[in-house]
Amino acid sequence: MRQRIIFRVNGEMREAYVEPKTTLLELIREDLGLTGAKEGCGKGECGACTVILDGDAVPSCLVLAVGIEGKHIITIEGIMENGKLHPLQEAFVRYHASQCGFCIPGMILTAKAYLDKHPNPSEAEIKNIMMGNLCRCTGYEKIIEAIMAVVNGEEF
Amino acid sequence: MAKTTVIQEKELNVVGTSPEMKLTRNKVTGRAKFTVDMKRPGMLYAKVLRSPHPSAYIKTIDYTRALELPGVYAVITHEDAKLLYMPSHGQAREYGLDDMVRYVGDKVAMVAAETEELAEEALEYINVEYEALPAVFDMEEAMKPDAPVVHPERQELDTNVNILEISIQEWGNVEDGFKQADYIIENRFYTQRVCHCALEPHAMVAEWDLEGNLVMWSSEQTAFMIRDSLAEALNMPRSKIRFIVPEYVGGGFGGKYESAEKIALAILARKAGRPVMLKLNREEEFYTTRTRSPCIFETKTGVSKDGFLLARQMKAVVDVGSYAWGAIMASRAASYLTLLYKCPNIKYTGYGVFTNTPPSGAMRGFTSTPIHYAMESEIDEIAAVINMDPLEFRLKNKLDVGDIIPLNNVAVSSSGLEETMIKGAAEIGWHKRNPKPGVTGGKFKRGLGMASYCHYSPMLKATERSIGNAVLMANIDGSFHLLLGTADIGQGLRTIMAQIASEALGGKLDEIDVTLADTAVTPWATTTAASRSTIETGGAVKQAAEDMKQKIIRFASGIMDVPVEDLDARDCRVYNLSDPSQGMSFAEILRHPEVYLKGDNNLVTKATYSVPQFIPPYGSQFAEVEVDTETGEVRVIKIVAASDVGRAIHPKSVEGQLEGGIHMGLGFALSEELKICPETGVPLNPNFLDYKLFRSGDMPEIKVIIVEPIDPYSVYGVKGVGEMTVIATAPAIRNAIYNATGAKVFRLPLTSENVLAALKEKEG
Repeated sequence: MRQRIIFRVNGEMREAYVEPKTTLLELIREDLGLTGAKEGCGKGECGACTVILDGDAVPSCLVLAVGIEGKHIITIEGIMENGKLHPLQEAFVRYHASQCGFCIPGMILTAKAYLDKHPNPSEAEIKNIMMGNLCRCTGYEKIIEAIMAVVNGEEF
Repeated sequence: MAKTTVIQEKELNVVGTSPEMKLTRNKVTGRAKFTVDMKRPGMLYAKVLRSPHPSAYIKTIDYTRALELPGVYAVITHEDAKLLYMPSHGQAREYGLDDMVRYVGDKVAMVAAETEELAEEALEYINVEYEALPAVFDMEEAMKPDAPVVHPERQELDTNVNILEISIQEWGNVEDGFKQADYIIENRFYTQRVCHCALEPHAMVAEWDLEGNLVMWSSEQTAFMIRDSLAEALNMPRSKIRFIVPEYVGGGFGGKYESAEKIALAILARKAGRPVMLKLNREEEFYTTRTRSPCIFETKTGVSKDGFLLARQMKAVVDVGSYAWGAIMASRAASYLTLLYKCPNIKYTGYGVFTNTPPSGAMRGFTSTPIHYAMESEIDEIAAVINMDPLEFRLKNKLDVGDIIPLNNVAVSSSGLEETMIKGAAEIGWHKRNPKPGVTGGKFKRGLGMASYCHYSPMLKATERSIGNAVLMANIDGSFHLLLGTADIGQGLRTIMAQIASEALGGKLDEIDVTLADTAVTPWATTTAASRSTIETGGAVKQAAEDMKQKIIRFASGIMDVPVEDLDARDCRVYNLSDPSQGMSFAEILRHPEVYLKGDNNLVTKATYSVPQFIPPYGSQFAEVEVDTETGEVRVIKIVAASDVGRAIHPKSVEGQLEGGIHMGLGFALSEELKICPETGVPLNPNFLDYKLFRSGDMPEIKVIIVEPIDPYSVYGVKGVGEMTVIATAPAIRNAIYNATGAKVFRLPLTSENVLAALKEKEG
């Protein structure tokens, strides 16, 4: 009962044959080999599997693959430009925002999706939009600092 | 006392700076491959059948129907894997798979199939007949003589079989101390069961070849300890097991260095004839790995009216769950009564007790975190009784440099304790603290609290070993490979060790490659635990790097015709101290025919380092809180953590460790508790919705202060850092609630419910 879907991933057109219950997370990790998205809970509670779906950050473990027909998915592998890290990625490096790194792709994509639409948020706003992404290593301090450095126009 | 001379460090170039962390670019781009991202050719997936009963014998298991499913390769039960996992404490056994289950979630069988989904489906086709037994979930109930027995194999023991261990430790005579005391106070504290919640769930792969060699990859805090227990269980020479911790491990916090599933997985992979991966889901992660032991502490303290501790007595009951690594806690907790404050008379009695609840084990701040809640809350209780500022009380009673620690008869070698108290107090604004609890504010009351800590890191007694090994290999171009048996689990070990090597060698940081935790490649190491690696492995790295530098300088001395003592090295270049423009790069030296033709046998150095004595990591934490006196809700406004880290090798990384520890401390203080149904033993909240970690918007303002009283006995003066700030957060907040409202909370977590109950009790 596989269904054919056509969609875009990181700018490229792709097709896949998926079961009705296949999740977007399974599709990108298993079929597309994009393993930057991580399964931390499988229930949409931790944010480690976050991807950007038509401009919005979503937990890919809660999205069914059949539902992405015609849509555009951006994963952590797809935000570098011309071989250079995205400013958020560079900021996470510079501010030592990553410890184990397991939650970091989700963190960066949640921040990116928001900043793409709201370029000048307050720190309180950023802390609020990052509520869906758990981190057990950092206490979020350096993650918020890195995101705010991008918001404040620091050169990366 | 160990003979160690204090070496004055010259100016440091790399140690004490915060360069970019190694491999961090792979982490921010999704290229970092964790264990779960591995795929071996022909790899199968495993699932574990888990017990619905808290205590039962397995009478029969029939898995023929499961094996009939196409794509299912193997099923194993206790008949295949009743192999002792790890020599456990007190004759309590944990097997790969056993014919008895001891908690809800205990492992019964394991399946290997082509997909995870199929393995999961196959579990439904395994029929198990259980003989359910009575179970016990409460530690004090379990101590009673007629309680249900968790480990019947211990029946031959004389004592109550559920009591794993009784530890009695005494210094001086507490009865004498109580007689001299002007005031005696007694309290009873309870701390709860919490979980590590590393974002990466456990994942492991086992693969055999046809010559009987086993390779295992696993997200782990140690390669060697697990390899050793696998070798014992499987009755194999250690050399036939290669245990590899992949480059990326998604957090550990004490939760990733033991799991009996690995034995079962090895057996399963052998039976299936294919590599097999097991990854735990979040629910399994919560209650089938290890948890922090719930504890009860009964304290009795005698104090003089001028504010000196005269006698401290404590009874600790530690719930070690169904399988125990937490057992160590019952004996080790006593240490903390001797590490912070002077007191001539101390008596500690600790009980480790089995219950039919999730297994216990190490967790960040292991053995210290629960008891500090009791000890440091107790200090504020005493200060209140004698009407003394609790900061003043701590300053007056604290151990100082040169004071002998009664536990190990070692003099305190360095201490930033006073400095952490003074600097932390200034940062939180201690002078504006309510002189009397609960006098200011209306419905919302604010208050300040503090707590200090010390931790058992990496060892306390001369009888414990704390050894690091390092191998350093030079390439002919002047770049280096560093081989270490310990693991980087996100704490930044790879970078820190390269910094130490670079500093001691005169090498370039980004030209030092670090390979970690592979039992076939790297030298032996202990666990990445107890905040030990920087001290222990760092000591070996420094020695190996200094030896390497001397070898290269000796080569250069011959080539340049300059005496060895006139040469030094920096940035991969040996130079003449009296004329720095005269020199040779490492590459020029190593490629020089004089060196090259002699072969490369001199270009490997190795070192073993033994930590000479206890290196005390001290600190003080301060909290400002606001309490809603109608609902009991506590809002933490600010946390200040002043930490004596000896020397910060990578200050930004130290900050990250301290901030992360506060996050875990806040959860322990306010929101986290794995609840177990008192009737059925079923875990009630094994998910991130009901088990509440602090999220970004929940965090208070945090200020970390790094204090660096360079320790004379450790490499570059470093102390353990990783665990420290989790230890004192809860008592600091608890004491702030007391200062705000006058309510005394004895039970963690400090939920609205528990705080409101304390507020009501205060009003009587």
